[in-house]
Amino acid sequence: MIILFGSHKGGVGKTTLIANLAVMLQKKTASVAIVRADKNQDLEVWTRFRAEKDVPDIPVMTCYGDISKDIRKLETVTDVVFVDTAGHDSMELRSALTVADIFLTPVKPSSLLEIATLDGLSSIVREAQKKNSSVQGFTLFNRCPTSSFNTDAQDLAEYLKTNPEMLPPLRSCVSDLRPYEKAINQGLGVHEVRAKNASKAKGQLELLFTEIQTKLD
Amino acid sequence: MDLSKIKKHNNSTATTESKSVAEFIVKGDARPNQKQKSTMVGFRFDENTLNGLNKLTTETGKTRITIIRASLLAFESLSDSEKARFLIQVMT
Repeated sequence: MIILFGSHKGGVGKTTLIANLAVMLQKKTASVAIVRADKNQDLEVWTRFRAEKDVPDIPVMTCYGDISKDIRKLETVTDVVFVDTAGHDSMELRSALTVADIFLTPVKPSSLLEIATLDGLSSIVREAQKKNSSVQGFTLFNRCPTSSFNTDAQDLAEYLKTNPEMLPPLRSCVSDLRPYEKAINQGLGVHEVRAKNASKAKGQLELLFTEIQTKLD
Repeated sequence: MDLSKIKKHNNSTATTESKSVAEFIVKGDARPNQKQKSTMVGFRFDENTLNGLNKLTTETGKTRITIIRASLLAFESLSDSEKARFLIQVMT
């Protein structure tokens, strides 16, 4: 299974989600690998922090350009390959789209700057679907406020559903919970830390992955 | 969570024509092309206009074509009555 994360804006939470999901699956005894196709150092730093802890390694492979063959090779030896791309259009994003099963773009429902990027990104995914008919693209609401009074996510979901060209929203949402970042700061995932709200964060990731699996059934 | 549901990728995925796939991928690194096609044109300027143009190029350190393009932008920003005033001035 190849799960690709991409966006047309940096800082939306791609790397944090990938690292946390990879740790979760590894703890469930699945074999996982991460393809780092972004020049920023985040995953490298996270791996370095991780090496200092008494936790299993998660293989991170750095690739640039047309990365489709590298992803395919990794897929032959792992259950799940996560692909982390830069926060803009790139060869890496497009080549990964030609082999991915699932494409996710995280977006904060209250950020108009992030929402404004969805149109262009959706067009690229729709074009990619003509080359790779099995890739499914979704918008993942990320860093959602925990307050139930906030209706931004509801409003954005309605907007996306009424525009069939846009990537539809997943039902699962990821909240703006401190444990996600706290875990990453230590080279870990939320499934490896003890913190307030950690169990809520774990539950959200498990629901997210279960929903992804149902999309592939 | 049932991990047995994790599916291996189906290699028979419809990846059509490798050429169109390659074109699609390469477009990802394309930068917006801001250079427009240009065409060679010839003008005759009277001496005063040419002197004025040369004076401005010396003052600004810009090329004559840059001054003309900037002048065009400035002209476009004028109101209709101001445009008429300048047109009358150069026609007489």
